Amino acid sequence: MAPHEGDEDPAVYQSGAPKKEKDHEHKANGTSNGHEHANTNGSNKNAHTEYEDADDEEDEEEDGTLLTVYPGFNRLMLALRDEGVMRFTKYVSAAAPGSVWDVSGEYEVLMTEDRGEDEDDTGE
Amino acid sequence: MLKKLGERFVDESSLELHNFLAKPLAEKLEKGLREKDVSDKLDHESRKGRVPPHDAGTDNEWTMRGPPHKSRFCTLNLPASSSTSPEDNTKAALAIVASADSTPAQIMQALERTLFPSPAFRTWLYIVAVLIAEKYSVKARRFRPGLDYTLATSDNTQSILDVVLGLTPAYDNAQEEEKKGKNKATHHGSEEDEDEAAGWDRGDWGGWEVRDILCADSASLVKIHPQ
Repeated sequence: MAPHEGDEDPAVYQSGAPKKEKDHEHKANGTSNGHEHANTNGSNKNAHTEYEDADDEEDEEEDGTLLTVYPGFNRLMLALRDEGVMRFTKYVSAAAPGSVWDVSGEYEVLMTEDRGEDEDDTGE
Repeated sequence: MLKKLGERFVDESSLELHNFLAKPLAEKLEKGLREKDVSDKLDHESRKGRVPPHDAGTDNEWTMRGPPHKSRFCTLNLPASSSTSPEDNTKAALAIVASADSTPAQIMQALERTLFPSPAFRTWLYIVAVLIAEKYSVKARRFRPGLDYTLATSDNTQSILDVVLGLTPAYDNAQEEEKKGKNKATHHGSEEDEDEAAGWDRGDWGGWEVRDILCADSASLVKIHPQ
């Protein structure tokens, strides 16, 4: 498979508006605490609420991007990913100054009563 | 403090902690990772924006994995340690972390195989995320410029706690500025001249990680962008 040039995405399987517009949104949206971004389609601030409204017809954007994390050094990111939430790492451009490195762990989790959620049975 | 983190995580389902690794280890690792990119000719000086060959950066430590319709990036290829007991495993990892001679790959392996799977770490996750972590899978990853990526997948039927320790060295602005100063006579205007703070968070270089929802009713619609 030939390497990709520039910012063109390799095939990204998702519904909704073309990816390019969302790239600009990612850059435009930001929070004051550094590198953690939550794209909330403008109206909702609460990631949980947005998640439940994913089927809402009124949403212009169907992508419902929950979280964008930029490469950084010595930063531990924790994120709970429910069923149906996609995850991917954007292609690293040839213009980048070096490799993107990380240690990525995925843990199957049980909800606890403290979270006020129903218990999930992970099983084996 | 931990309780506040936990509250925040329950509210927002995500959390980012800075300076997770202790400073001496972090500095050693950052230096080693920069040097590794240089020796693998993946740094900017070596490539000057060109796409490297597919096997760049692969050696006895890092191996490329795919398949390309899902992802391409490098994972560790170091031999597993012969010790089997958790105590020996921990001792070996501590020795690697303390040694001045350890390669970044060895340090990342200690994180991948000892820290992240450890009961102590999972206990800490429970305190911070208020979740009980059971089955796990941990990978140290290297995404090389011009080559590597993952595609969107959502094959999890369970809730998954993603724990990612980002280890990408910060872009060295000072070095770039110095070079520009030296090249002033021949340097043609470029975007970097106007850019006060080039960095990974500008998004121009990719490498960011996105979490996104697939809408239930559009699960059957796929949009493939032309290459």
